[in-house]
Amino acid sequence: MLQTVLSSLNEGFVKTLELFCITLLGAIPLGLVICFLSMSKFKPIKYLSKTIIWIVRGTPLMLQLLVIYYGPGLFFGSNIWGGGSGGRFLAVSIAFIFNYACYFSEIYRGGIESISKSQYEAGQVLGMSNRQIFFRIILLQVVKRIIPPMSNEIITLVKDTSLSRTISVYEIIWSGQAFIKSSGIIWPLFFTGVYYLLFNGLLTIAFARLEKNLDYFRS
Amino acid sequence: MFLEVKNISKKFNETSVLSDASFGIEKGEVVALLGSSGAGKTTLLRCLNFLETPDSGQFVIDGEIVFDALKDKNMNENEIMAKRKHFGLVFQSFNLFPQYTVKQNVTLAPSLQGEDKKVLSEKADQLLKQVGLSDRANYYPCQLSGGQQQRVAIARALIMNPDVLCFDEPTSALDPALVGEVVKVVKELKEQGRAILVVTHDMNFAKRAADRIVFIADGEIVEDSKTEDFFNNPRSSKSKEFIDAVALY
Repeated sequence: MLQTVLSSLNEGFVKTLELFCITLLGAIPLGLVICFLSMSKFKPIKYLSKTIIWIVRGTPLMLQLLVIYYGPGLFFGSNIWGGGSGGRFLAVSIAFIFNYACYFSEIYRGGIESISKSQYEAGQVLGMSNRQIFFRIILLQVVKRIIPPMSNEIITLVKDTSLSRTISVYEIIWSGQAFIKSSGIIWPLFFTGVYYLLFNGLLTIAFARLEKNLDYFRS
Repeated sequence: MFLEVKNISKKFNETSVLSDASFGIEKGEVVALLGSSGAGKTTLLRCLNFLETPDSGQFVIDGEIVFDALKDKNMNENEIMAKRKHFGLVFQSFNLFPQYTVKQNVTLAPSLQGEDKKVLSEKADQLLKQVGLSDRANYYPCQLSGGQQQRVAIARALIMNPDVLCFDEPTSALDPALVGEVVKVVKELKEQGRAILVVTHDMNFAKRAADRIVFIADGEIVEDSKTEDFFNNPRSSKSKEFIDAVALY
């Protein structure tokens, strides 16, 4: 029995991990794009992206999942996601990437705005371009400052992946819950907590190490 | 004059900060731009380094007009970058890049402009030797004292080989005991034939380091005299007031 439960939970956890990794891969760069748009000097773009951030942060992720997955079918009469589990996973990935990108963008903005103007000026008087200044001087200082809030968000993401079961993505909670119906046992569902704890433990160690690696400079 | 600053004016939201400021610097000369805070001296320095764009006036170096507000008011990034090459600036709080070592701080900007790595490395070593920091090349800024950070900032500015080197309040962030060191460094640079502009309100420093004093008050240059003449026989009443006020204190 234990073996069956574990192999089923492992399978669910692989799905959880996939969603976690895809979300990070998409949301970390997309967040930077949204961040730049929300800091744009061109007012319409700035306010449009601020509105989008407001909507995404102001509504539950679960609701966003439902709207993104069922919305196209209900409003336009075509289910663009396809019926299968692949389609559901795609819809979930897009919703997660977009949601997390909006949160990340605000963390980035806070980090960027916290860097003193004098760092930009030091680059400027040395004849560096704005792009060089951002990527060569500002970015690493921002990274150092945003590690604590980012690690918070990323640990939340690990747990938020469980929301994807709302539209029947078979992640680990789903796998655990399935045993209630099929075998009448509840402990597999409870046991999923161990997976989350262990994985978040690893992430915590990784972030601590990253912080330590950037400890060699103060800004 | 090697550098001629001609009729520079600058307003911030209708408040005039500089009006019709003109002065010059020769090669191998140290000019101190002296004045109380709010007089406009830092703004003038920032204009020279294109951190602010003057509303009117010209900068001329060696007879060549490098900036003319009439046609250069709306410069794009590349044009500003090209003009900045004429001027170097050592900031009041040095503004080193914290994540880079001393040597990397010095070589970063020129390496991005495609200069040969080996040549740059040698140049940087030589400059660090000149400012007495050879043994600190691989240190990070947070491991250095204020005076050492300032010398890194000087080496970083010098590697770009600017026509005019500017200092913004070089003594204000330092221990008073280090002022003599700064005077020495500035004099050495002068010996090398550089044109040096020092913005300061530190009269003692100006007295010791400068060949000429340009005194600025309320955005206007009210006196431009040899250092000893300025302190012994100030021509304008505002310079006299300034000297007396500092002498009292």
